[in-house]
Amino acid sequence: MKNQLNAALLTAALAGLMGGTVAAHAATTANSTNGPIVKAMNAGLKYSSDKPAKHSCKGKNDCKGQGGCKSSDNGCKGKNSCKGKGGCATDGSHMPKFA
Amino acid sequence: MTVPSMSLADLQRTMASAVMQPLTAGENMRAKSRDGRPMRKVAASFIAPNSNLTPFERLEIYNRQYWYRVLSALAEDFPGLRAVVGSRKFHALSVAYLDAHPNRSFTLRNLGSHLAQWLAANPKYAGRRHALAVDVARIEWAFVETFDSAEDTPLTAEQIATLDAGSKLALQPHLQLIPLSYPADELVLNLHQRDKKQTSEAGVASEEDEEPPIALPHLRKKPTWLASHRVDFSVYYLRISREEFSTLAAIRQGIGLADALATGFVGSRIPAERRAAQVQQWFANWAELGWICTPPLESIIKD
Repeated sequence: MKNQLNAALLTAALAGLMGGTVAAHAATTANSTNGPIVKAMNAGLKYSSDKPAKHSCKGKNDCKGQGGCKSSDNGCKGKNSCKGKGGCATDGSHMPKFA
Repeated sequence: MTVPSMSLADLQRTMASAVMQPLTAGENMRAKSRDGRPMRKVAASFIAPNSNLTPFERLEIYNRQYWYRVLSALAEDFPGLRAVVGSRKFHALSVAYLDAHPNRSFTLRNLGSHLAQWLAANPKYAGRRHALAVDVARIEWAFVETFDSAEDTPLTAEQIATLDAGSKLALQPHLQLIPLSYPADELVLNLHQRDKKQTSEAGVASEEDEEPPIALPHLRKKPTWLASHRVDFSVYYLRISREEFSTLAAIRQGIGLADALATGFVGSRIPAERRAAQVQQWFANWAELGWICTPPLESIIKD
């Protein structure tokens, strides 16, 4: 009985996977603009992030003229250029490359 | 002045230890180092004075800038947590957290990676809203992970046709599974909207203004399972059932498909006759969202 149930769950999982994959493929190939909309309908609550960039030294004038104040623009935060590539630096820095 | 010779590694350690030591309440460098030595002596041991500044004053610039930068970066990633606990508590918890988990990465992106876990173990920093604060921190950290984690190619129909009970699958790297004590996802989205509005109205974020914890809508404790993921460069939060959550977590752990399904239903109240239909629906939705991938080659070879 337990084995039957497990087999039914496995069959259901594989059927679901196949169905969802075919549906996703169909949505993106039939009309490339509808695919994302169909996906987003089942995706949940959307978070929109378009924060203005900030400067960490703003308002802190005690380093003026003495060196050591870097007014980075927080790099790619809130911008999409690094999405999906990993390693978005909050301070706009990049990993140093060593020779 | 003669400065005793120091290896580069020692110099870097001494500098990092001095710079990463928390500031005083008045935002000055502390008078003593962590090991109790006077900071004036420590600074003079590896920094020369210039015409305007003593070694202590020169080092203090870097000590301050380190803390201003990391506190600002942390506040930027956790505006919801800041709103829930209030700015004063948030500042104190940030300093304590960053002292316990200083930045170890080349990027400030990873600064908050231990915050939720640390806050769960240090309730005194969150006050009476501790459980909610931990939930908010979890959701906000998941956003960072989801925002820029890699996107792998989902399983193809040809690959699905080869699967069996023992097949190990992988989840999309940007998919984050978040167990919560409260249904806090909507709250976090609202808090972020509020923060965004305030930031754009003020021109800059109001991190330095003192703000008490905000009044929150009444939120009842209720175990909630959340998935954060990305669709076309946007982050989404999707509530899922406990069974879905457990099944996905088992898949991520590398458990074979049949065992992952069995794990998902441990302690479940869903009647046996309804489970297959539920499973089919979950997997169809996950596949449509591109959540299921093949495991990395290394893990297959290792097995």
